[in-house]
Amino acid sequence: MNPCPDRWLIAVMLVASTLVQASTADRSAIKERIDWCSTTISAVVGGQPISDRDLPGRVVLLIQNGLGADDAWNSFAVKTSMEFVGAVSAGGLVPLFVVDDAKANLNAWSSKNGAPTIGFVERQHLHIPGFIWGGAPRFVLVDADGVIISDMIIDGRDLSGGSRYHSRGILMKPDDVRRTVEGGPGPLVPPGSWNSCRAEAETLTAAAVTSKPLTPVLKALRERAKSGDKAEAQKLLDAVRQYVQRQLAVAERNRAGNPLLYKRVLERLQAQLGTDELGKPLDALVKSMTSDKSFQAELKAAEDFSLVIRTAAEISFGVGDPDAPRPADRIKAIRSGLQTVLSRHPKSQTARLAEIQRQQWDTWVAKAVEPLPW
Amino acid sequence: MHLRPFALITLLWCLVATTGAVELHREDHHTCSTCNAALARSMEYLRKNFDKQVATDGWYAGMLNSFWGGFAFLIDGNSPKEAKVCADRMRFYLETWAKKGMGYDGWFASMSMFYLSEYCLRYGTTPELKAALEFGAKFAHKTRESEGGWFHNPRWGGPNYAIDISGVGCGYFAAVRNMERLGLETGPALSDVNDYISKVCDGRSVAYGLNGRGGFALASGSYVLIGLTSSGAGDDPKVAGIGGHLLENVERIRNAHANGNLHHFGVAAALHRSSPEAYARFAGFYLHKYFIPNMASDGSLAPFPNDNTKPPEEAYAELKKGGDYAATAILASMIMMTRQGAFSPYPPRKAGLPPNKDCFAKAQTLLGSGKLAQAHEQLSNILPGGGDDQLIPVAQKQRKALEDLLNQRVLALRERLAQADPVDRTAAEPLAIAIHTSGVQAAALEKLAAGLPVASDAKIVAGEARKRLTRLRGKFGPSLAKDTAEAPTADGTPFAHDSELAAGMVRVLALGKDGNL
Repeated sequence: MNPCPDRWLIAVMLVASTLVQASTADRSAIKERIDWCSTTISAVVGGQPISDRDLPGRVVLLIQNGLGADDAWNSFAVKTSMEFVGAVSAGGLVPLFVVDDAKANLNAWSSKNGAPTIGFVERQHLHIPGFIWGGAPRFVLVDADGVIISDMIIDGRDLSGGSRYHSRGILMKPDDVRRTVEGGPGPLVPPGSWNSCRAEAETLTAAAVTSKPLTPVLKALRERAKSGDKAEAQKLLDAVRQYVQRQLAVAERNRAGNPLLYKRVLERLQAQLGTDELGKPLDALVKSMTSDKSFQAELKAAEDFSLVIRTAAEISFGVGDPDAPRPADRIKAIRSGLQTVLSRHPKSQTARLAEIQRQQWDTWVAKAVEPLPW
Repeated sequence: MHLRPFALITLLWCLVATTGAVELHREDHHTCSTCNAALARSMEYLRKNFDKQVATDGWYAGMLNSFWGGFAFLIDGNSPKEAKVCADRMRFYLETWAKKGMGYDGWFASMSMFYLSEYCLRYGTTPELKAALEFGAKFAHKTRESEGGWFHNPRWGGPNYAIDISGVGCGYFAAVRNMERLGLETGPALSDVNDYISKVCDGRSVAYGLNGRGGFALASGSYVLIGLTSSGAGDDPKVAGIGGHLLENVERIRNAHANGNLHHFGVAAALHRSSPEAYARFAGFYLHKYFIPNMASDGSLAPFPNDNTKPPEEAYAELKKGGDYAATAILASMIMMTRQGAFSPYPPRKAGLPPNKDCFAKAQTLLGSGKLAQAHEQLSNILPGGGDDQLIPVAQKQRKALEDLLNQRVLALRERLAQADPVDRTAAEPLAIAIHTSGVQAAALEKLAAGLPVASDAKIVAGEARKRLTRLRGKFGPSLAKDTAEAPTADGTPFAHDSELAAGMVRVLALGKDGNL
C-alpha cells in the first residue's frame, strides 16, 4: 500500500508544530526571578530613601550606569533612562540607579530632568541574590512578582542610543514597561494635573516607592474632601483604595508560591496605612495568615532559607569568582544554614528550592581552583 | 608535516582557485636579500628595546609585547634566553594578573597559556611552567560561561554585549590541546575546549562567538589550526578546512574584527603551518609590497591595521609610523616563517646534524641493537630543517612509544616489589623469585637505557629488589629463591631477559617501518 503523501505531510507538520510549541513552552517556563525579600540595601546615596523593604511586590527598574563630568554622557544616560522610567506615571515603578561610587550624584540626574522618584545606591551597598553586575548602561526590569522581564545593555558608543544589544532577556521598549506596571500594583497617583491637592499627590507618589506612612496625607485628604476641594481629594482617596487592592492582589497571587513576599507586602501596607480605615481589611488577612498553621510552616521555612540566601548575597557567595576572598566563617554558616533548612523543613516547598540551591552552589564551589571551606 | 591526501588536494585547489596572477614568495629569507636585511633591522629593534618593552613592562602593552615578542624569539630558534624571559612574563600575566582579575583576564590567560604551551613544546616543560599551565587549565574551566564560551573577562554568568569571544576560547583550545600533548594535567578543560570548538567552528572558519558557527574571526580560526597541528592532530579535517578559508581570505585580513596584530600574526602563522605554498602566497602578497617598504627608520612598525575602508596601499602605509614592539615582532616572525618549519612545535634543530633520513636509519639500527639512549637521541634530532619532513611525525611517535614502554616497564617492576610479605616460607618462595627476576630485569634495563632519565629509576628499582630479597631471606632462610639466582637466561638478543620489553620493542620498531623511504 502506498502511503498517502498528504497524511505524511500532516503528520510531519503536527510533529513539527508540537515540537515548536514544546520549545516555546520551555523557553517561557524558564523565567529568572529576583528574590527581593532576601535583598539587602545597606545605604542609598541620594534621591528617594528606598530600602530593601520597599521592593517586594512592586515593579522595579534597576539602572546601572555612571554619571559624572561628561555632560554629553549625562544627557545620553538620563534621556535613555527616562525613556523607560517616564513610560509610566511617577510612582508606577521603583527606579534604582546603581552607581559605582558616591561621586555620581543626583545633581546630574536632576539637571537633565530625571524623575524625582529615583533612588541612588552604590553597588557595594546593594546585595541581590545571584545577581551579577555586568556592562553598562544596563536596564533590568522586574515585575511585581519578581520575574525579570528584561535585562538589557545599551552599547554607549553611539550616544544617540542607536546601537543596542540585549542579553538574557528581550529588548526592552517603553511599552514593555507600561505593560509590566499595569500587571502590577500600577501607579498610586493617576495621571493628570493636580491643583488643590498637588502636595498630597506628590507625597503619595513618593510613598509609592518607599514605605512612608500614608496616614497623615490620608487624613489631610479626608479634611479636604469635606471642604470645597472635594473632587481632587476624593479622586486621590479612591486611587489609594484601588492601589491597596492591587497590592493585595499581587500579594494574594504569591501567597502559595512565595509566602514571604505575601507577608512583606501585608507588613508594608500595614505600616503605611496604620489605623486608617483603608487598612482595616488587612487585619483579617493578617489574622488569617497567623492562624493558618500550614502557611506558617511554609513561611518559617521561607524565612530560614531567606536568611541563608541573604548571607550568601552579602558575600557574593555562589556568584562571580569562587576564588575571590570571602570570610570562611560566613561560608561555613551558609552551608550550615542550608543544611538546617533542609533538615528542619524537609517537606516544605522551600526545601525543594534549597536543594536546587545546594546543587548550584556545589557546582560553583567545584569550579574553584583553591579549595573552599564548603 | 603530514596532511591527508584529501586535505592536500583541498589546499592545492584553494591555492589554484585563488592564485590567478599573484606573486608567490617561495624563497627562504636567507636567500632573499630584501627579507634578510629587513629581518636584521627588525631583530635589532626587538633586542634593543627588549628590556624596556618586554622584560620590565608589567602592564597591558608589556603583555602584548611579551606574547608576540616571545613568538618571534621562539621562531628565531636562536634566542632561548629571550624566549624564556617572555615565558616568565607570561607566567606573571597568567598566575598574577588573570588570577587577581586585573582586566582582560580571558585574553591574557588564554594567550599566556598558548605561548607557554608552544614554548614547552620547543624547550621542554619545567616544574614552574607545568604548574602555571595546570593552573591555567583550572582557570579556564572555572571561568567558562554557562553558554560554553569565554568572554574578555569572566562574565560569571552575568550579561554583556556578547556571550563570548572566540579569540579567547580558541586560544584556550590551542593551549589545552598542546598541554595534552605535553602530558600535562588538563582536567575538565580539555573537554571544555573540544566542546567549544565543535560549537563555534564549522570546519572551515570560526564565528565571533557562540551565536553562530563559522564566520570571519580569522585569528580564532588560526588558533584552532595551530592548536591542532601543534598537538599532533594535523590530519584533522579542520586543518585543511581552515587553511583553505584563510587562504581564500589572505588578502582581506584587514576586514577581520578589532585587532590587526592578532589577525595578521594568526593568519601568517596558520598558513605557515598549512603548507609552503600557502605561506608563499601570504608572503608574496604582503612582505615586499606592504610590510617591508613601510618599516620605520628604526626597523619598527606601527600596529597592523584593521581598517577595511581604505585600499591596502593606504592602510598599510600607516605602518610607517613605527614604534609598536608587538607589530615589529610579528613582522620578524613573518619573515622568519619564509623558512619552512620555522614555526614548528618541535625544538630547534642543532647546526651540523646529518640529514633526517640518516638520523632515522641510524635510530632504527640502534633500537634493534638495544642502544636505546643513542637511538632516542637520533630520533630527537629528526626535526624541521633536516629534510624529509614526513619522517618527523614518525620519529616523534616512535620516540614517544619508546619512552612510554620504558616507563611502563619500570612501573610494572616496581609494582611487583610492592606486594606484601607472605606469612610462611611456602608462599614466600614464588614472591622471592618474582622479586629476584624484577631486580635482574631492572638492572638490565638500567644498562640498556643508560643516559635516559628512566635509567636512574631502573637503578632504584634494582636496589629496592636487592634489599627486599635480603630481608625475605633473613626472615625465611638464606636459600630462599636461590635456585633461580641465574634466571632469566640471556639468549643473545639485547631484550631476552625481559619478554615484556622484547614484545614492546617489536612494536616500537614496527612504528619505524612507516618511515621507510
